Amino acid sequence: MIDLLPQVIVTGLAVGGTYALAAVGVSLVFGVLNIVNFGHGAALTAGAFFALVLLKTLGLNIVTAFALATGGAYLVGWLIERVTVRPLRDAPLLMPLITTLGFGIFLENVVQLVFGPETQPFKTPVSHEPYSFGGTTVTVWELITMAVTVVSIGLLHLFLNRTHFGTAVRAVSEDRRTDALMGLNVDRLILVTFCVSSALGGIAGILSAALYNAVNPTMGSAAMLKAFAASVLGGMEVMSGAIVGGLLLGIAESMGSVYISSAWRDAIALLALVVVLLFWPTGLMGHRRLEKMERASLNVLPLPPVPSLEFRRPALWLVIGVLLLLPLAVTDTYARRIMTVMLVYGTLALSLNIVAGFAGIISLAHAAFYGFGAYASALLSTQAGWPFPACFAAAIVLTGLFGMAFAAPVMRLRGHYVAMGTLGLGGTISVVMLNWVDFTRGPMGIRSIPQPSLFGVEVDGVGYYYFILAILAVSTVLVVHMVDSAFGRAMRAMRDDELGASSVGVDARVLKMVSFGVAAAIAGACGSFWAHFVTFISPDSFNIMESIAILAMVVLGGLGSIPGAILGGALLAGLPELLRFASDYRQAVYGLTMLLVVLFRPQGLLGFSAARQAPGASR
Amino acid sequence: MHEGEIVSLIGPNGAGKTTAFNVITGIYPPSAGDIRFAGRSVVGLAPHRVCASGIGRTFQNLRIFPNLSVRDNVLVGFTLGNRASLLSALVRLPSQRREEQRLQAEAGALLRLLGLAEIEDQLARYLAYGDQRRVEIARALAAQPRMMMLDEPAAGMNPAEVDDLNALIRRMRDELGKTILLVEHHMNVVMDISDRVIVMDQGRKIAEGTPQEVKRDPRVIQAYLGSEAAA
Amino acid sequence: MILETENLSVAYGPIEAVKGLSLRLEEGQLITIVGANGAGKSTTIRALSGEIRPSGGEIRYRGRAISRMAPHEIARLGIVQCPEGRRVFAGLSVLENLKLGAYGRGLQGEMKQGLDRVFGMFPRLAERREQLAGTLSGGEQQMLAIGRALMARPEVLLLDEPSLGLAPIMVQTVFEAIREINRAGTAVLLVEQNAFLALRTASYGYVLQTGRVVLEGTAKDLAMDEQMMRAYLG
Repeated sequence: MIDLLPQVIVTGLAVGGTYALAAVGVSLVFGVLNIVNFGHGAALTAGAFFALVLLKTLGLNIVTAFALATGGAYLVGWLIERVTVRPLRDAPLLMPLITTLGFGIFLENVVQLVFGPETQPFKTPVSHEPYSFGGTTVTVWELITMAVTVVSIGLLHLFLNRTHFGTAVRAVSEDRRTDALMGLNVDRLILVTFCVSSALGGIAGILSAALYNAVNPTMGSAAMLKAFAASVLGGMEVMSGAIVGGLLLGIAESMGSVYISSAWRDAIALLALVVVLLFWPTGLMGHRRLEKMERASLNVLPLPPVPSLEFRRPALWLVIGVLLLLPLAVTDTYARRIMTVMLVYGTLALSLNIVAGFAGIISLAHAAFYGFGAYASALLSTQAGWPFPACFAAAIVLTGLFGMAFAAPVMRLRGHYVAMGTLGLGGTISVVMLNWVDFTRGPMGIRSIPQPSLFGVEVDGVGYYYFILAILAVSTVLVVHMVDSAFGRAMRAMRDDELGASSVGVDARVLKMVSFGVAAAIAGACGSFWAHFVTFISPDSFNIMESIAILAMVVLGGLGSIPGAILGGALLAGLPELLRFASDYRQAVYGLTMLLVVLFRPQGLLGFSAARQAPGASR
Repeated sequence: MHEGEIVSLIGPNGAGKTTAFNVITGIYPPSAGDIRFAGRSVVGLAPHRVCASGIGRTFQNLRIFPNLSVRDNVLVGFTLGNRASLLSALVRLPSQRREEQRLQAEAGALLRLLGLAEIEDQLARYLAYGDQRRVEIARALAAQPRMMMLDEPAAGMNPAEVDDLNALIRRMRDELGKTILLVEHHMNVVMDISDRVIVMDQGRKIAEGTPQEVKRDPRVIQAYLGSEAAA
Repeated sequence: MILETENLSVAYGPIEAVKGLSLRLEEGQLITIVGANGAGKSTTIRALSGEIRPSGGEIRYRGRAISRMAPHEIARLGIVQCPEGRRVFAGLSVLENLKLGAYGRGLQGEMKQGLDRVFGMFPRLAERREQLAGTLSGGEQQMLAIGRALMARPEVLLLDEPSLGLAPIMVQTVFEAIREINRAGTAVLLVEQNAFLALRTASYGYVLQTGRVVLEGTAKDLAMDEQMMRAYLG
């Protein structure tokens, strides 16, 4: 096996080169703005597809096509900055996180609508015939990738270090205020930084398309995770770190697939992301600690008042009445099914809102809890033969405990790192579901899960609807009680100002753990219900995109609004189904929702509208 | 510091006053030395544990909860005194309701003491600056500290508010029996209410004594106004 | 009159940090604003540089209202601020820091003369030109910050607490340089906590207390004034 090593390293270096390019882009933006561009993947996808069109449709020669495609990616960066970042310069840090994420997903889905979701070959005139050097083979594309990586990074280095403009960009990342005092136009410097970062991402996209001889619309998202991992590994704001991180990651993946198993290849980047974030916050070459105990509050919009559960209020009776009587009016099986699905997502959004809305932690892993509950219930039912009520109860308890365990690492992170950390953890859980075939049956999923029965009565048809309605009702009561108590007050206080809260004895760790625990338990109940409702589950239903969709629902309804989240979940889950033609646009709708809501109605549909600056936050 | 004393920590910009505060309250670790409070070392404790040991504080740049009402800001201060468990809150047990009523009553008393009762339903973010300062003080008092550390409580206040603040600080000592440590630039406050003044410059203590002694100390005058020698 | 403010007020949210300040800076003059910390000195300078929009009043540069302009536009007019705490770009070399000063005002063509002037004034910086700014001593960083501002060939130089945290010998060097810059024709507004030092350097001074001018006059008169000490020590 050891004689494979040179081969493994050569392959790893080529792939690692593309990671390094994409990671340098991430670090560049982070250094200048202190935000993570969650739309970076769109630039990779765009670069690859621009190249595809220029080569195949327009028949340009390869050098011209690649150069123009890089220019196209540069313009995508311009678009991302102008649309998602510039309007939010003084907004809470959370906002550009959601807009870049939403816009990135939207752009990728536009590509998907134009070119279809299938993977297409990326044919170039360059031969894929490998050359052999004493037993180690290398393809022309691998050589080109390495060369282009070196040249691109060399040019970037010259730009940053040998031009006045580049020096000014470096100065922005040191001290934006002083840059402006020197007469430099900071907005323009930031714009160009985004463009250069996206151009680098575009090059990475083109190269990896050529390396694998394949393009597909979601390649950018997948590569973006690798870029995050590489960048974090290198020390986040350090460019040379990102390069080393990318190359190391490429080699590690290449080794992993040879010496361990290629199925776990993607887990390496995710694990690297999580482990480095948690235990080695400065990375290989970083010098700053990730976060200080500073005012890193991401979300400073006021929360809407907690709804009261006074049964004297007619509005509440109206809502309850409509929900109870709805199945009488809607008798179509398909429509009832959609109503059931809407309630599932309403409940899921409600539970994510505990963490994202009230505790102020943007988690991109909520579908992992949902999936955990679904798998726990399905496995206990099919493997251990437990009756449904026992499976359901066990799913709630186990997922709740899992959520608390999940919180332990997450609460060490702040700011955009929370989002990256949860992204990594959620991705890791997806990979486990996919690849631990002996336990989860992998991509085939679990089939013929028994329908639920309660007290000897089989639940079916409209029973599903009432069952999930009951879950939603109980969850809502619990969440209202939780938020409208001393505990909830402390949670909202922590969301406003963690240090201020700790100065009066609030233990943020306990709060975060419990918030995650309750949120996960509710998601676990939904998961268990879902497994027995559709009788078939597979990892696809619980991946990162699903987590992002749930976040979009909360954002639409209003972070911190209990009725808002439920409504947001129901609407975003139901609308694409009801407007059948729209179901292809599902993800594009999620992405666009996040972008538009944050830009134009940051408090969400039912959120609390108020002036955006807090007097205390202005200094 | 002694029980029931009002001590002021003063010094020019960058003298290390706020840093001293932050080290005592567990935000940064000291590089050497010990901090003892009521005979027990509080070095290395997390901020919420420092609070539990009986030290309350306010912040120079205000760290109230802008999106909570005044009343809720104060109620969060009672976190340590709350005896209701989360479980009892989730299902609203009668014991939790009684505990909540008790806290509400205590918060009400504190709000009245600080003259905040009339604005208790407003979100803290919309308050005038002086009111925000008092909310922060009320919140810190709610945690029942033995010692209160106030970081520039008079910053941004107008003269009338400063007078009220002086009265309030005296009452905290006289009526509530708190020991008070103060960082302040407003010399009117410092000279008016302090039992003892400690002067810092460039991270060191350069003088200590009654307000009158300190005011006449040439080292203090030099630290504040600069010296002819340096010019 | 090169720079003047009329009834300038600046507020941070509900806090009014500067209230109705009127000051005048003539061509070639060196004036100072002194006062204890929290008096509103830095706020004034930030407003002059366009970093905070005034809540009232007007700022005029050579008769032209500038209070609505962005910081980089004001800097390009020639009103260059040397901020408190020096704020050199720590990860950039001394030379890069200096060149940015000229580049910001679009003076790439005059890089050479600018560097000659700064290195002539601070030979220490010439020795350390390739060093990262973050590795310089406090005094050297202050020289660099002033040098960087000089590279922009300022019409008005705004200095915020240049003596802060410096050893006495360094303070002397820095203030000698400030006088020299002024002698060469640049109008200077100096904000200082070290009042005696500032008043010995400037020709005219304003004493600020909680956002208001409580005293103004020629520097000589102010230095003798009893009320001065009260503004500091209450």
